[in-house]
Amino acid sequence: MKTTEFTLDLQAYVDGELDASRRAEVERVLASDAEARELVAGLRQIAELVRTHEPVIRVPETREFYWSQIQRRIAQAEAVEAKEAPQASGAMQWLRWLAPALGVAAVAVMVALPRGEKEGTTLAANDTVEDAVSMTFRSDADGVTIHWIN
Amino acid sequence: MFLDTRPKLLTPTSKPAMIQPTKITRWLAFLFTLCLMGVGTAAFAGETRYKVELVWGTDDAKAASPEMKALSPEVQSRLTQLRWKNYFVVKSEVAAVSTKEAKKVTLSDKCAVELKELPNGHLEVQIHSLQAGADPKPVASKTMSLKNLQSGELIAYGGNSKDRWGDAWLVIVRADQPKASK
Amino acid sequence: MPMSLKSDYPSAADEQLVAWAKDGDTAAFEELIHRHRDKIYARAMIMMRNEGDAIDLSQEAWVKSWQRLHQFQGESSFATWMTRIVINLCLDQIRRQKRTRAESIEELEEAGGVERQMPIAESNPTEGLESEEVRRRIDEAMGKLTDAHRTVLVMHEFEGLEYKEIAKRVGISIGTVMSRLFYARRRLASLLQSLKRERSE
Repeated sequence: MKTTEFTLDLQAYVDGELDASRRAEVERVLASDAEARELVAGLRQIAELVRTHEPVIRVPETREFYWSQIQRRIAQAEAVEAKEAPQASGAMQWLRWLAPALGVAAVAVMVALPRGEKEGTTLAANDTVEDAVSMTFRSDADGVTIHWIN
Repeated sequence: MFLDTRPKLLTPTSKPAMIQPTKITRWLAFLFTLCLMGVGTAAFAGETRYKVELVWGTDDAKAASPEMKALSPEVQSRLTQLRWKNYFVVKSEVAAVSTKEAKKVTLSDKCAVELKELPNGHLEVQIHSLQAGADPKPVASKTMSLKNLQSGELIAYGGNSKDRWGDAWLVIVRADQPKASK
Repeated sequence: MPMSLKSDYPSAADEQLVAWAKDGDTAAFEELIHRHRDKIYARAMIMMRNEGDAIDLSQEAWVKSWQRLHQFQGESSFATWMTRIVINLCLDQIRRQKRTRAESIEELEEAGGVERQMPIAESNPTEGLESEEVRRRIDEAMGKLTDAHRTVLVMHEFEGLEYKEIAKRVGISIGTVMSRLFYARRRLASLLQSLKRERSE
């Protein structure tokens, strides 16, 4: 009857984790033990099967939406860092994350509104309304503007 | 059409002593012309109806309660950039809004929107957070041109649900009977 | 730092995109995300078995990678570096979520199972199947493992990490890595055999 330790040694042998002397000992046993050889074959089979058939799973969001969420998170993270270390030279770096996003939004806006109207901007008379909107996403094709709030 | 809120005008048969009939006629004609041109909208502003819907975005096949109906396919087909499989309407209201008066629509015990037509031809949609025992707190204010809304565009707020991981809420505002849909 | 308008982002190698991104080129970073996002998300999804967690952690991995890009010196491929980041985030999340009850039961099974004589697999449980179906079944079977067993399996088979490295990252002994890996493989083989029997009925 194999000990637990030896069974795990067989696995380590399959995984190439044994040092030279232990590997030699295992190979000696394998030469005369059919059951051990069967176990090694089984371990190799399942390991190979899993390794070569990693599930393929796709992100369920569009490229633009996924990217915009990451941009927002980076901007937030850098804003927090800037607050904690205001003397750091990169304190205003987070702005560059908003600039491209705003730039893309502005381009989308201009494409959507050839007469030059601005959409999605705050034109309220009350300037003191807090703006909890973290991101604005516009689809010209779908005719929809979505303001995302955290 | 505009509401006829013109002050009652003197007719030629009830002429005040100091005003000549010809001047009244000219003045009436001028005012009528102005009305036809749409000038003086503050005096003749009508109301526009907007549909406001609180929507639940989820991957669940069924709504949380039988009262919730699926969002119309036409609107859902325009949310392709969002990742949820299904959208259910939690509450739907129609609000008549004008430049004179903002209209508040309470959508749940946590959320309300206030709509107002601005003088510059935009609809302002302000979203309010509601809490028991406290005044409503405006959290964001965005606008969309009336022209775009009338052509069928949607303006929406959204956010990740704090109650159910992976779900989202949306507040969608659109003209109730747009002149043209996309 | 202004965004440079390079038209050859899609054809640039990862190393070039990383170099541009290190200079602050956000468009180059976006191309890297686009190129590798499915793999990073898949790794998180396999670990967490929950779409919301997988999206959250995969996005967090990208944020971390941006913050630590200066640390990446090309010692591995960029994709490998990214998968390591997301795996670590998943491990942290699993610890936070403390999914311990099911694991206790499986730990008992694991202790007994290593001593059993039965071979790992009687026959190839996926023989005759298309590759896509095999992947699907493996994913389904992995979903039935506990976090502890699945984690070790993912780190060994998909990340190619050695026992010592897995032990260090997970915070367990090498012996525990070995017994969990053995149990995970045996259980996976058994699950695949069951699926084979079910689907052929």
